[in-house]
Amino acid sequence: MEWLNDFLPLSLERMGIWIGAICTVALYSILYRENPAYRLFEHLFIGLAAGYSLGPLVGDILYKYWYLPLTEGAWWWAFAVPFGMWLYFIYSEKYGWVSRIVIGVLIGASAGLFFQQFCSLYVPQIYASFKPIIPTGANEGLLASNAINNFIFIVVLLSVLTYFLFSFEQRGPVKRTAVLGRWMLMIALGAIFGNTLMARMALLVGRVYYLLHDWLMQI
Amino acid sequence: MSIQHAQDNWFVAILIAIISLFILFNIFRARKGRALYIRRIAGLDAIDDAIGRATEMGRPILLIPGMTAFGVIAMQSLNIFKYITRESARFATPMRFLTANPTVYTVAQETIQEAYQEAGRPELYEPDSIRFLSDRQFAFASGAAGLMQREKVAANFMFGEFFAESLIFAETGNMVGAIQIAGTVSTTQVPFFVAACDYTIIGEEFYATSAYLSREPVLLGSLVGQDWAKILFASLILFGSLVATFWGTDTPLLGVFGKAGGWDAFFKGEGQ
Amino acid sequence: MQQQNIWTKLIRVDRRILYLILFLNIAVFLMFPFKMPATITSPARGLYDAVDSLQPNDLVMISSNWSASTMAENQPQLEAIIKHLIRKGARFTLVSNEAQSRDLSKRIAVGVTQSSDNAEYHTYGQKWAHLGFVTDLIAAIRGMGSNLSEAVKQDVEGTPIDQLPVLQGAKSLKDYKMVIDVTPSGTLPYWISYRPPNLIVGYAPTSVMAAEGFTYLDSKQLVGMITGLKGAHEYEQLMGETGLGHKFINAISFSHVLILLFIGLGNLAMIMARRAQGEA
Repeated sequence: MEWLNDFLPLSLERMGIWIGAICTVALYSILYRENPAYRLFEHLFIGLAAGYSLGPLVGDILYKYWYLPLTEGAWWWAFAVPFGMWLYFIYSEKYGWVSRIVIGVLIGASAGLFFQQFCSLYVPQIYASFKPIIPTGANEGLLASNAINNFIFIVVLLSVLTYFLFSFEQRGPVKRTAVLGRWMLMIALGAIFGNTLMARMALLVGRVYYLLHDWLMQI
Repeated sequence: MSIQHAQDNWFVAILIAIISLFILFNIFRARKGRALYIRRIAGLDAIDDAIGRATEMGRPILLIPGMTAFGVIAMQSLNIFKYITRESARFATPMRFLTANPTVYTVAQETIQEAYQEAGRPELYEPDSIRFLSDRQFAFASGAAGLMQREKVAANFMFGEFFAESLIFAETGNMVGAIQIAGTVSTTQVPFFVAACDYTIIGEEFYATSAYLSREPVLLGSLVGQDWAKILFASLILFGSLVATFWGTDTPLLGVFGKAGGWDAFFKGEGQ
Repeated sequence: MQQQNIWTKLIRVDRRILYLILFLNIAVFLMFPFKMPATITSPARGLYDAVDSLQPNDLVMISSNWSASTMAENQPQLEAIIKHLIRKGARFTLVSNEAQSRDLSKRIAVGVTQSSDNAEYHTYGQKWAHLGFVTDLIAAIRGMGSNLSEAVKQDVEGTPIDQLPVLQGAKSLKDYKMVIDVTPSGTLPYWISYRPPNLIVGYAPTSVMAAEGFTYLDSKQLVGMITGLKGAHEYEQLMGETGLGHKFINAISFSHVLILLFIGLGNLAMIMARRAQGEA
């Protein structure tokens, strides 16, 4: 009886948990078959997700970064919103070109930032690819096993790079290297798939835990 | 270790300049009318087969650019979707386009309309066939999965940037029996597409497909320029490994190629 | 003929039955858990050691960019990391690039800090704060890298940044020792690319995104990484704590065993059915 009192949605908190449980079960019902409950909660989810993000956008972004500076004397921020609103001209056939100014600024900024991103991300990785492949004594402490690992690393790296060459027909040794690259890619993709399977199982375990622990209180 | 500015390692700045030169030079060549060769990607035949099958079954095809924000990847996806729409317009195959980005939605409307005009079938264009569902990842996935189930799509084309929702699309497409062709640069999502789709275009093949189909000089030139850059990187890596093997990983010569302060250490003798 | 039917039936088994078996498998191992020690991987060890080397009052940024969809993986990670930071007496601030995460991560931080033995963390703003939601992470990182109070004007409760006790003496990200990115999406490249050079980066992704992290680990752009729920379990074990990682690990491990069984049976059935068809 006590369990039943705790289980039923007799408080706000329990009602929230019940709603979460009903949503979970309704969305999982697609696994049985397409049904109206899934469609209802699918649309509810879409609407809720869109509406939820509006709150932080207005409160944390527009209010904090546009309204407050504007009211504290930074009058130039007044131009920010109209400039952003120019994007809506994309709906106009006659004035659609106005939206391209905004899009151009966004793309230009990303393109410029990308140079720094490329240098910071990939150049250190190229540098880290300079691995010794034979223990010659020039590298103290390099074990044969590490050298073999490094050799495999270099072979895989170069063969995968060869696979992604498009400006000439691949024949002979180049084609064989590219085929090796594709095999190595598939092995790596299999490992990534395994990782992702783990992620999916974890999310499912999380939901089942919610149903069994938070809702049914069996754990 | 991080390279923030050119003076951290001048070789990096030179490298960027060389790669930019490769790309600009090849764009110039392409614009001048020089026929730049791109090998045919195997996935292109699969696209044509998929369109044919959808036409035979009399069910719509579905185009999904994923969670792609408006940018390079979105434009490449739209190039590919324009080709698919043009081909499907020849057979009057119904088409649905779902997007999670409002800007991609508006650009897609123009692109798809152009595709129908180029195919000589402007009357087939339906604005309602292009839909913005939600910019929330799983909300978009739920909506797309629901549409696939309701309309029983015959072919599913997924090109763009995908995240965790990719397997939801691919698996739902499998459940309704759709033929699925996917192409993405998102490394983490490629395994799902490989497992669940009939053909997958992996990584850079996506850009090559877009360049091959559109034949735009900028795309062709960029692709050839990038190939030259890859050959340069491969040579650097081979050279660096040989130096590391015979002279050690600590040698200042290697630091030139990407260690913060490595340029100064080698050329000016600083920090040694 | 009888044997052929078994294999064909196995291939054609309704997937809903498989879903049910999987659900029951997970439910059983959640309801009847047992201790399962983790093999500590070197990326997890790397992150643990990096956090463990922090001194009291060192500043750490936690970039929490997940939503309810990935709560099962990111929540245990965030809880374990916050507990470790409290144990080290480090100051920490959270920032979110995802609208839901602003509330979720704050709620989790409040829960962990309130239940900790260290009373300094019981009052919001003293040793920890949440800097709120930012739409453009690149702009936010670059802005915080030069001037924290200009980039993030107020925290999530509306207090100006320069009035927060936790950020006394901190002008920008250059005053931070470390950033830990707890995320299900591709935000790591932004932290690696645009952070101040002295800021070391730790990574706590969902398992999906872990593959990207290995290249950065190899090139030492990351100090360490905990991969999804398994990573959270490893981290909890290193700390000697039990949390959601410990609770879920049995169910996850045995669901993988079940999946392997399904894959093995499915492939075997396919081979045997083809063989039988060939013979017929």
